[in-house]
Amino acid sequence: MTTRLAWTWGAATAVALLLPFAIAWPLGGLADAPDPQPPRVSLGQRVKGHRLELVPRKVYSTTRSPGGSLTGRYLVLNLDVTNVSKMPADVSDLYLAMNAKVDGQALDPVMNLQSREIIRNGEERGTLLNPGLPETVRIAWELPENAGNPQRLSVSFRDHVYEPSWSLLGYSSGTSLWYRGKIMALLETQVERT
Amino acid sequence: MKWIIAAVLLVAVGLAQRLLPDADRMYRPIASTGGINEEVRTAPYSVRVDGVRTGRELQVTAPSGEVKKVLPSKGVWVTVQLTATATKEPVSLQDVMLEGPDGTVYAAGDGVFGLNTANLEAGIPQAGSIAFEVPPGLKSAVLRITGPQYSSALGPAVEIDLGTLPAPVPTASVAEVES
Repeated sequence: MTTRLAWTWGAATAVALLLPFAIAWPLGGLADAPDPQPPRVSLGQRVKGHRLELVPRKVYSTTRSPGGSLTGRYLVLNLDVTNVSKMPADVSDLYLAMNAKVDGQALDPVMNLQSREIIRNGEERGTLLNPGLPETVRIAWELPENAGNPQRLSVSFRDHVYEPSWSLLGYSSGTSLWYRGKIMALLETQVERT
Repeated sequence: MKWIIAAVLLVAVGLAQRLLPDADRMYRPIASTGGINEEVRTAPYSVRVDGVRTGRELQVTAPSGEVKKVLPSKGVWVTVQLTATATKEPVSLQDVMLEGPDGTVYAAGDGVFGLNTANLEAGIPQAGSIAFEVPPGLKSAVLRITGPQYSSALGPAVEIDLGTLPAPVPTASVAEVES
């Protein structure tokens, strides 16, 4: 093959490879696709994930700490939760996959948490979610003393996916773990006062 | 000819890759197995299941002997009576699970301090019970005892086939242990 022929082939190959990008780039074809909006749900609507199925039931504010006798300002979310996976889960798995805002202000998952418990017959029953056993879960946040009456709660719920573990550093064994997945629902609701 | 050999080797490598077990199987704990009334030994402890009961509610007895609470169930309580002995040094049983026939795994009851929470002393058998709350309809189960989930890879484990679970009585019981 002569040098000139080789250059011609090289140039033709480069053009063939780059042409689609040259067309797609100005048209926005290489930009990140926007995340689809998660479905909005209201109280009473079922949300089904790979690990947990939940139905938000009630959102209210109170001045008495749920399960305790302290006074302050508390925001409470009650949900029906069923573990639909084949492994035990914990209420903290649900809680850590949530992102809550009250009247547009983000609630700190550590500093604002008052309690997260399974409730049966009005009593606290720990945090274990065994597969196939429907439970009522109560999540309570403590609000600052000087906060006004909360009006609106917005909570996103992330799904979980069970998949082989990985590590950028290569230390992972590859055994499967639960990872946080996409937002599966967004609850926006008025806060009741009790 | 060498191209054919190379192609055959390439296909063989591909097939061998497909036959490799996945990481979950490759690193699963190394289990000693047995049945009810059999002493099942693993490096840190040995376990013998003495009996299995099921009940619609669970009576929890404190170490002092007084009834601490009665827990109704949305499903069924399964209590496993067992005797466990540490081999060389004090241990606890760590993760204790029931596995159903379809592979679904249930953890021991939350807030019930059964034998799974006890500190076992070397050479001293300790008898007790462990309670599990499971959905109704679980017909049979295997008791699985492993190290904590994130450090149990290739570690010691015990799997005891409990066989067909008995019909539930109104109240099963579990005696809590000093932990």
